[in-house]
Amino acid sequence: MTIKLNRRTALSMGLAAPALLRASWARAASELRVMAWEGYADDDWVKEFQAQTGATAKVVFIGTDDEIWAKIKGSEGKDFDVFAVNTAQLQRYIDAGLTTPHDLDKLPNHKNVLPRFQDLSKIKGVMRDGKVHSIPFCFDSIGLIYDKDKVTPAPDSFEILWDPKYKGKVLAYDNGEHNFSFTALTLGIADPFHLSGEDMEKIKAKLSALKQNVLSFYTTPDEALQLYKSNDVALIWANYGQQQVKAMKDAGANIGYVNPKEGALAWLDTWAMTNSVQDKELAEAWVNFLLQKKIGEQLSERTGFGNTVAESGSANPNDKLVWLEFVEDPTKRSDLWNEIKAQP
Amino acid sequence: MMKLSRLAYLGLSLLTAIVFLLLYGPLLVPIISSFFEVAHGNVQWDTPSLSSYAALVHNEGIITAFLNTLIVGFCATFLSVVLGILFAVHYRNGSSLGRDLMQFVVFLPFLMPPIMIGLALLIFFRETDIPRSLLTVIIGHTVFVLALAYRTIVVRLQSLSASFIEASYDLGASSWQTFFYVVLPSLKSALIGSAILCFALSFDETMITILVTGTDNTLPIRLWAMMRLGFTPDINALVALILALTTAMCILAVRYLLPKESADNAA
Amino acid sequence: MLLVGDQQAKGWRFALSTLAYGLPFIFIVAPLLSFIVYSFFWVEGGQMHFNLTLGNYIRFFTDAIFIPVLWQTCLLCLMVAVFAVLLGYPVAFLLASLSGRRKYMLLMLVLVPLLMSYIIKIYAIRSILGGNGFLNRFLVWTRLIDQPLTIFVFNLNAVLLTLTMLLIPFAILPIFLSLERIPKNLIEASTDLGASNWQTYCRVILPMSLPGVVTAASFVFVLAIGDFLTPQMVGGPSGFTFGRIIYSQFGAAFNWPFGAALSVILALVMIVVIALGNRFERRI
Repeated sequence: MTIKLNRRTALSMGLAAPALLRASWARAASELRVMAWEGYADDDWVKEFQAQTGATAKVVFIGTDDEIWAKIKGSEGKDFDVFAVNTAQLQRYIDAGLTTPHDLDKLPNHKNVLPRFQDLSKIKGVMRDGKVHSIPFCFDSIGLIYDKDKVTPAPDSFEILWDPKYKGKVLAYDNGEHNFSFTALTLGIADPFHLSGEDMEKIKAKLSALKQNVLSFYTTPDEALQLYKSNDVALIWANYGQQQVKAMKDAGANIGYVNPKEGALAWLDTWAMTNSVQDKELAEAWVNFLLQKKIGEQLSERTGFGNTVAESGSANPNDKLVWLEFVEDPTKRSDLWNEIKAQP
Repeated sequence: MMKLSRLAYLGLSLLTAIVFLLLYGPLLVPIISSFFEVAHGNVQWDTPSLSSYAALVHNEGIITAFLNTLIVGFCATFLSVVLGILFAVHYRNGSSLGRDLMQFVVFLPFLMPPIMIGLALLIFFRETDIPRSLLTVIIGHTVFVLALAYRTIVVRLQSLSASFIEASYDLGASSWQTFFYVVLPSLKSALIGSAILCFALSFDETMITILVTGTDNTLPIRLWAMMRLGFTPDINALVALILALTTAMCILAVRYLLPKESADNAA
Repeated sequence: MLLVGDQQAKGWRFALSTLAYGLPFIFIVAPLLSFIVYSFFWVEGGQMHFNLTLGNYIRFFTDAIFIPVLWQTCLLCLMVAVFAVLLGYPVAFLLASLSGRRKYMLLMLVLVPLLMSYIIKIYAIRSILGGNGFLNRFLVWTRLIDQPLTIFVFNLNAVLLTLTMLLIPFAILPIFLSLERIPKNLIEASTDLGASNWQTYCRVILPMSLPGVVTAASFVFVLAIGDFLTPQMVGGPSGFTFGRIIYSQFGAAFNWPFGAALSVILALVMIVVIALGNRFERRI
């Protein structure tokens, strides 16, 4: 959406000139602009990468999927070179032309990834029209955390979140898309990512009931931990899976984690290049660098997530995992979720 | 101000003490925690140590972010106060419709939710090819806090009696001399007050900054991202240090910039 | 009139006007205008349609949830403004009646907490108010209650309390400035004429400090209503505010047109409230 007015363009040129000069001087030295979640671009990795390639890497950390979209769409991809995004969300970026496909020849370390992540055509969402738009990096399931002292026997289904016995002791996640998806699974709906209007109404009613049972909604893993520590909490819907489990256990909580029998959602985070990537070689080098075994091991050790190069203790092979997909109508789910939250 | 009776003084002091408790209470949590070991988010009350301070010194990222926050804060404050004076003078001189319109436009960004201002500016910078950097953050902050500076200054300026200015002209001063020697000094309290509020707002501004910053981090951005994995212990140390530094600066400023006699007359 | 008289001043006045109109136009009007134009577009099925429609505004009035939430949010923020002013006025008054260094020292100490990150403050307040938090533990220890209470947090009361705590300094400063401006000779005259302290306060000081009170209330109201983070973190299931609705439009929902429309409506509401406040001040 461009507004073209001669006077304004001239004025803005005049204002932009010094800034542009500064920018072009900066581009002479090689620079990589990275947008990542905390834990995906640790300081020591960045330092090593910079030493190896001689370039500088500037990392900006974000906290939610919403932010990634706002920043990348808002700047039409111009502000960053590489960003971390999950396979479900990736679809909207590909649709909007905000990504540049990867060149697998430039990623020799891809040969070292675990067998199930080798064939990229088998991984839903990563490829479009034969081109690879992003490379898998880490993953986890979205299961149920329960306090072993307060909840016995160990639960096996999300239904327990609605149990009136735990009224006011449940923490749920503040996101319409995921809440609709997992409630769909709990209600036995086959495809939680493409819901009909009728299904949505059923789920809306069920989620309204959940709201009555919940102490609060959280957005970040640390928030859930803080809420757990300062309140009497028995059950947590664990959007950040093992990362939350690890943080809570380290803090001394006696908790267990279970992937429910009706199926747990699972996310796969990947690295994608923006459509305005300044130095494609450097960006590929970054992704290649992170596909090393030792980085993968450190990632899993520090955050608890599963990585794509080394086996880690995440997710029992018998668990039913339902990998996230781009939902039928994110706007509608967000609106319905607002309606649920607005009810007294 | 008038002399207070003993009772009134005690009553007001009590209320003030309660307010101070509300203001500083929440801060005691991170500050006291900074003097103890913190393991996995739990404060180890039996192990006092200064390790958080040591960690802070080594955390280049946070220190850079903090310095960026200061740079942005000072620049945005300076710009918004100067522009506030500019607009306030123009309001006093200007025509009725023009000045009301200008005032409305100045207030607008303050009234809109920060996320909208942030997105609007991001799209604007994108369309006009202004690269995102600390400069765009400064512009964003200035646009946001300008209303605060302007409002504080214009209210003070409006109450400035025209007779002072006329007297100055009558005594032969030029416009500039009148401005610098009569008008500006009388605005002093408004200027300082609005500068402090603008700096405070800019210091904590998160939403606009996240959107228009590109790759530079400010302290609020780092804290926002840390909400995901938890605040590292050096943040407690940082909070304690900021508190100590600002309090020290205030004590020094009051002690040396306000000699005892003139403080009584300052207003 | 400032800057009148000499020819040189004429040139400066022109430059002044150009800047006064030019700068806001470039950096405020242009970006905001293009964004407000967005509010007339619409989103369907994840795609943005660039044709003009009033649909977003109509939706605000017809969809059942928006007006009640906006009303509740306005009431909440008005209460925050009232509490902040009620708590801030005595402090400002005490400050104004002190003299010398103590006055400015105390003023600085009031403003210093503003520089402490507000995210950290909310975290601290949330843990203090929680079921296992300091407040509950203190109340149980003093035997005032037997069991920890859950009424302090994750509801609208918590949002009210937290916002008030965060915004009190923004109320104190404008009130303080307006109290300071009251000419001392007026107060002296009043006392000389035989008025008691209380009468002087009611007849002279209070009316003259009202502009500052109104400014303080409007700052606090605007800052409170635009804040979505506090309701998000301490509001829980029942503390749902208009700010949270607006914020959610700019995320994965990708409904910028609707978000822009809601923001415009919110800004209009704020303008109305502030205008009413100014009218009220003038009456007195």
